[in-house]
Parts: sequence; structure tokens; C-alpha cells
Amino acid sequence: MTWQDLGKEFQKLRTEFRGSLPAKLRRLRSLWERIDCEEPDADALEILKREVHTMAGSAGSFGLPQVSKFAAAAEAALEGLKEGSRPGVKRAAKFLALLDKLDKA
Amino acid sequence: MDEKAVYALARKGTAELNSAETSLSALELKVLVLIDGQANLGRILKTFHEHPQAEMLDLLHKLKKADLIAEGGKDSGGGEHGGIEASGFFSRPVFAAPGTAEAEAAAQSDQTLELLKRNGYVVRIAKRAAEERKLAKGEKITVLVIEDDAQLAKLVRIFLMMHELVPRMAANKDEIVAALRLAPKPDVVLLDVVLPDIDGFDVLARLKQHPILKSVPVIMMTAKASREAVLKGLARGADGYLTKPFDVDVISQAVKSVLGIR
Repeated sequence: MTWQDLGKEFQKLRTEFRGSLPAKLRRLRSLWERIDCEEPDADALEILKREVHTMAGSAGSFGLPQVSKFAAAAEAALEGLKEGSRPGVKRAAKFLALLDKLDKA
Repeated sequence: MDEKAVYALARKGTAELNSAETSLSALELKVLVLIDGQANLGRILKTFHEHPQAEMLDLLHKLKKADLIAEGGKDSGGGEHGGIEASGFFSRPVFAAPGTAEAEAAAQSDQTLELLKRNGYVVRIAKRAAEERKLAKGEKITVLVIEDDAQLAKLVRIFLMMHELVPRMAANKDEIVAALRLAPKPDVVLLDVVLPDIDGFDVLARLKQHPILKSVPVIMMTAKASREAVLKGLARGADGYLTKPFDVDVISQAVKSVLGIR
């Protein structure tokens, strides 16, 4: 592989990452719905925490610092939420507002 | 020194933590990471209680004299071989057993570190190797990248190849063991903290206790962006700590720094 090929591949990965964001955000909303319900799913909370953490850590490296910032805030908004317990109204409003910001970022 | 005096990083100290090329000692680095504009002498001495007080006072004086810290104010920033015997790598205990004096000391230290949790802490730490390393003609540097985010792992892999470094990838416990068994031994490890089936700090501790692998520099690269996490990494022997997200350029700088490649 030449340096130019690698450079193209590098750019392609950045483009792919941007393209994958809408589906990732849909998944975050779907995971949230499994938590903010009558019978909260403990596994969904763990997956959600991992996925926002991963997004916070990687988006900036793909040229999307705002996405990293809002995802880190979303991760912080989940701190202290116990597995199997339904989030409170305030926490839910905060988390969903951050997902809306991520949609627009 | 006034025990109640509050210490903050000076501009030069912040720059040092973000240079990805530092020649400060591990202890000096840990003190710089601890200092957050709210840390007073009492807290610093308590955190580093295993070091003699006189040594810590000298060290603080040295950091102050070097304009890396200041009193008062707010924080201004934030050999080739035939493969490794890696069986049992994840099964041997690495931490003190509960109830022992070592475990109590660790718990006390962790309680202090708990006080240090801060969000949004950003560092680009990479210790500069004591000696310069000259690569022989055709010699390649092997970088073991332990990262479970497939997209970021691909990005880092391509980036390393662009810099003529040889990437070897692992995303979980089994892949780490398999990657460590391969020859040549990696020259440097880039290690994520949050992995699906193992804690990166645990991997770090095991690497640093391994008879052959302990000399391999380890750079943590993680979204665990808090002083507590950075101190934990440095305390367990990490040679560098890059908080995510990072610009990939910083990786080659950090790798070259810990290996002594100019």
C-alpha cells in the first residue's frame, strides 16, 4: 500500500464514521427506551454506557469534537443510575436533550 | 512551606502535560497531575504518603522553581525473541489480597484519588526515553494497539502504517494474549482502558509485572479523562497517557518519545 493509498483510506474512514453516526444515535435512543420504562433493562444500561463512552472517546479523532463533547456529557448524565432502576424525570430530560444536541452536532 | 497553600499548574506545567514528550520523573508527573488549583500541601503529602515528607517538599520546591507549578489560583489547564510465554497472563493475581496491609494502603490511596475526580481532564503525557534509539536499516517498530472500538482501531492502524510503524491489533482478552505470543515482542503498547472483558489498568499491571514484557513502554489511550484515572495509570507504571479524543498525530509523537526515536 502506498502512502497515498493509506491517506485515501484514512479519509474514507473519517467519512464512514460520520455516515455511521445517525444509526448510532438511533441505537442510543432505542437503548434509552429500554431503560426509561416500567421494567428497566439492566443490560441495556450497561450497553448504553459503553456506547456513549466509545462515542465520546472516538468522535473527536474523526474530526467531530462537538460529538465527543456531548457524548461525554451524556455519559456523565448516566453516572449514578443503578441497573434495573428507572431514571428520574430530570435525568431523562437531561439525557434526551443531549441526544438532541448530538443529532444536530 | 505553608501547609494550607493551594497549588495550581503554571502555564509551563500545563504545556508539559500536553507535550507528549516529557522528561519529568514518574513522581513529578503524578504530582503535576494531582495539582488542580485546589490541592494543598496537606493533600499532596497525604496522597504520596509512601514518600518521605522531605522528599516531597524538595520535589514541590523544584517544580515551583522550574515554573511548572505556582501557589494559589485556579488550574490553568489541564529485542526480538521467540514469542512470549503468555499462558496464565490473565489468571495470576496482581493485586494485594483483601485484608492485607498492602490492600489497606491501596484502599486509602484510592479514597484520596476519589476526591480528584474531574470531568474533561485532558493530557498528552509521554515520558521521553532516557537514551536515544537509532533504528537499523530496515528495522521496524511494532506497535501493539489494544482497542475495542473497531472504527477507531482502524483509524489508528492506518495512521501507524502511514508513519512506517507496524501495527498489531487486539480488542479483547484472548486477542491480547494471542498478540503477546507473537514474535517479535512489541516495541510499545497503546492500551485502551475500557475493554469488553478486561480492565485496561489490569492489563497494564500484568504487563509491568511480566519478566519479559515489563520493559515494553505502555501508553494508555482512553476516554477515562479524570485526574484519578491518569494517576492510577501512572501509579501502575504507564509510560504515557493520552486522553481521548485525540488528534492521531499525537500518537506517533508519543510512540517516538517513549522509544527515544528522534
